[in-house]
Amino acid sequence: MRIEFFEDKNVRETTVTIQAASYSEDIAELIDAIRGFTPHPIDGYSEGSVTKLRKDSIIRIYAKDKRVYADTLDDTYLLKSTLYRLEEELPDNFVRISNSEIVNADRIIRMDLNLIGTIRIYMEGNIESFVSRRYVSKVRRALT
Amino acid sequence: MNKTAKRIIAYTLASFIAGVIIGDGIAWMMGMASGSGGLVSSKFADELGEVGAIVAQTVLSGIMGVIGFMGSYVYHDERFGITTATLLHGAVTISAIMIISTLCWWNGRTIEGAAIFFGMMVLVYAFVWFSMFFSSKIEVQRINELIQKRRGGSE
Repeated sequence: MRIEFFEDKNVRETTVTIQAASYSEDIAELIDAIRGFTPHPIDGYSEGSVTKLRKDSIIRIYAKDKRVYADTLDDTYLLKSTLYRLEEELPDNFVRISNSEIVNADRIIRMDLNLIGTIRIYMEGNIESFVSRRYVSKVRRALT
Repeated sequence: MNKTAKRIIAYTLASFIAGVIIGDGIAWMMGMASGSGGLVSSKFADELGEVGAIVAQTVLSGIMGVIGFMGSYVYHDERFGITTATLLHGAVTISAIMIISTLCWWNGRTIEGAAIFFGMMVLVYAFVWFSMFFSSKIEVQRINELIQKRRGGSE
């Protein structure tokens, strides 16, 4: 397999092109491996083992009882970092919704406002939470 | 003195002045409406003397402003929704205003006067709740449209 790299300052998004005589299982595996690649994955701890979490697999990150957790579709992981630090490291599609929670904007299903005046957010994996009013405009900007 | 303490003092002072403007404004308008004029109710002036009534009304109005400002903290507390925050703020502020309006004779110290005052305050808070609730509702609606667009129209 030959690997070539082309530098082009006008390219906005890194693009990987695979050229082959025909589509095969090897090519499918290669595509999966590239899709699974995530720069600087986050270490998630669950039941004594460490998992490299792809950022796009994270639905939300939240603080509870002075610890920080990440929910994915498969599991909840303990993270050894602070919400503040994670907020700095995470890509733009992650948005803070309250003092104790950051969510992946790509994983939001909908939001609603109840009569009490609290804003509820529904995410993939049947995850529900509340959005603080002061962060509502930030959520809108993240989705734009 | 640290930055937070300085900020609290500045806000307290500003809310005291705002309270004085509102309180003295109310008394002045009521004086104009009744035709007696003046900055304080004539009955309040009879009780404490003109200067004493003005000083007392100014201090009480300032306290009213500070209570209103301090109470607005509930709008910033994540635990409270718009309705709960408005109810809490309204309960504290309206109670303070009812006491001060009675002390300063703004409501004429009659049940009808107190009821009119109370009704006016409730209307103000109903308007505050209505505008906050519906602006949030519109914002949530816009966000839902953006979510649908982002998810390619799928739920």
